[in-house]
Amino acid sequence: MNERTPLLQVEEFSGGYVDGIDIIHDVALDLYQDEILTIIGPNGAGKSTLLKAIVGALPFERGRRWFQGEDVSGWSTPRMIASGVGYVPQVDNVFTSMSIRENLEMGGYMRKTGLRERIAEVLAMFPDLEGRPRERASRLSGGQRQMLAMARALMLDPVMLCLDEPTAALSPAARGELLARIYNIHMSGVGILMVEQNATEALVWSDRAVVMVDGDKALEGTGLDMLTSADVGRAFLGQGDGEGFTIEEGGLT
Amino acid sequence: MGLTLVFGVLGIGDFAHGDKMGWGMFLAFFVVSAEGANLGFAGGRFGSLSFGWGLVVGLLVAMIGVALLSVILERLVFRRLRAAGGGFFVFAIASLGISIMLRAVIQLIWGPSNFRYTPGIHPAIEILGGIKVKPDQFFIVGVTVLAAVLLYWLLYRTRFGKAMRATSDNPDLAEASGIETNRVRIGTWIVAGILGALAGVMLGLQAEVRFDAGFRLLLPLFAAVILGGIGNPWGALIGGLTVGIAQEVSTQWINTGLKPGVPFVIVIVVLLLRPRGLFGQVR
Repeated sequence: MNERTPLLQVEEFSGGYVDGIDIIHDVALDLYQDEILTIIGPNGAGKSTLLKAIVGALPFERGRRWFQGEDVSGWSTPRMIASGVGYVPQVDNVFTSMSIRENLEMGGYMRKTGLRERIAEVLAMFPDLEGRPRERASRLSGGQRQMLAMARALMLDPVMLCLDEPTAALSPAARGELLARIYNIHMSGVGILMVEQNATEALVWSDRAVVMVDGDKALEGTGLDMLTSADVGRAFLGQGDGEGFTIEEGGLT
Repeated sequence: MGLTLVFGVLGIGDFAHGDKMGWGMFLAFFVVSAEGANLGFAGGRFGSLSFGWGLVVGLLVAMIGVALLSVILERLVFRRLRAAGGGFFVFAIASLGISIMLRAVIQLIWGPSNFRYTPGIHPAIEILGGIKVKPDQFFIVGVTVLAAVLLYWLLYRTRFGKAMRATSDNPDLAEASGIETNRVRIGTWIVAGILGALAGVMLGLQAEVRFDAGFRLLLPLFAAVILGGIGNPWGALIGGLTVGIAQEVSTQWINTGLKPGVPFVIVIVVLLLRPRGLFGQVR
């Protein structure tokens, strides 16, 4: 596996929002194109911060990152997006004052050609959004907004999609549907890096997972390992975070 | 409209907008006045209008000049303040300083006197029901409507205009969509500068060319923008008409000296009933 070039490689990543106060410490990560990698961990563990830093949305950066073998340390978000990274923030991830179609046009802002065709392709992936291009994003349900946010991020045919808690605040039914869509996107050749709070469900779909605690990478393993690991359960129970990180003993049933 | 655009897209309450109008007014005046005549720009009249090609060239010069001035100020002042983490009030106070500076420079060059683009009396013509309107005023209304239509076309039909709306809606997400928001900001200043210069020249045409004419209009401008819903160009146009008409009509019942207060009474009443302005949108 390691003879291939990883899609994304991160080394000795440290930093935070304020100088001198690091939220994440010396994190290393890699992601291959044929993988779904999920970062899990309690609230405040630095998962979202790490994802933001990876896509260049945070000015801080100690350590290096490579994308498709190229050193992209210090690249801005638009530059990362242009080179094939899709990013869906956790909140405020659609342009609420704009229509579905306009949201997709903005996602494809950097496209020189084929905008119309790509919009049709992307809409076909999300039947919920099809057939009402003029509807304002503010009128969509939570699940539909997440779909639109992902659709927007897919407009430039990214090879890697970074998703920040895509299933947060969704109903269990909508969560399942969204994760299935993410899996479909992945099967079309997109590497997925996902931060998740609803860990059990996300781990089922993940090839690998990383557990972050207090800004450190605490554990790494396959999705199945994590699901069945008593350590993972204990680590989070020990944190007493009380936010529903539940891995039942004996793993997934 | 320029003011509300800057407010909506850049989050800056630009107190210098009035004085940028003043600069537009005087740049055009420079072209049509004696100095301009030496360069061969003055002269001619269109039909019954009070001006000719000289003012058209003047308008173009004013638009380019004020747009350029706005871009320079963005790079010199606002971009640095933004990078330093400055917020709404920092921008507002900075723009107030810029406003004072811009006005002082106009006064330094052209002095405190009043000027007209073209001297002489320009008679009004009578239209329906005995209402008298100057031909220039038809022109001003026409230009304003045209500007509003063009702005609508820009914001809702062009790629760059949509990027301006996206940046206004959510700058972080705009960046995450690959939109270079710094370019959008520059573009916004250019459009606002062009609109400001246009407004300044129209004001000079309607009233008189005076160093503080733009500044005097600043408070009613803010009233119009707030009334129409901050960041909404159509709202600003309707707000502007409401404020202007209310001010003039009010003199039927109240002392002319109280006229400048009228817009604010309207604003207070409207905001009590509709806190986001007449056309403000709920997110």
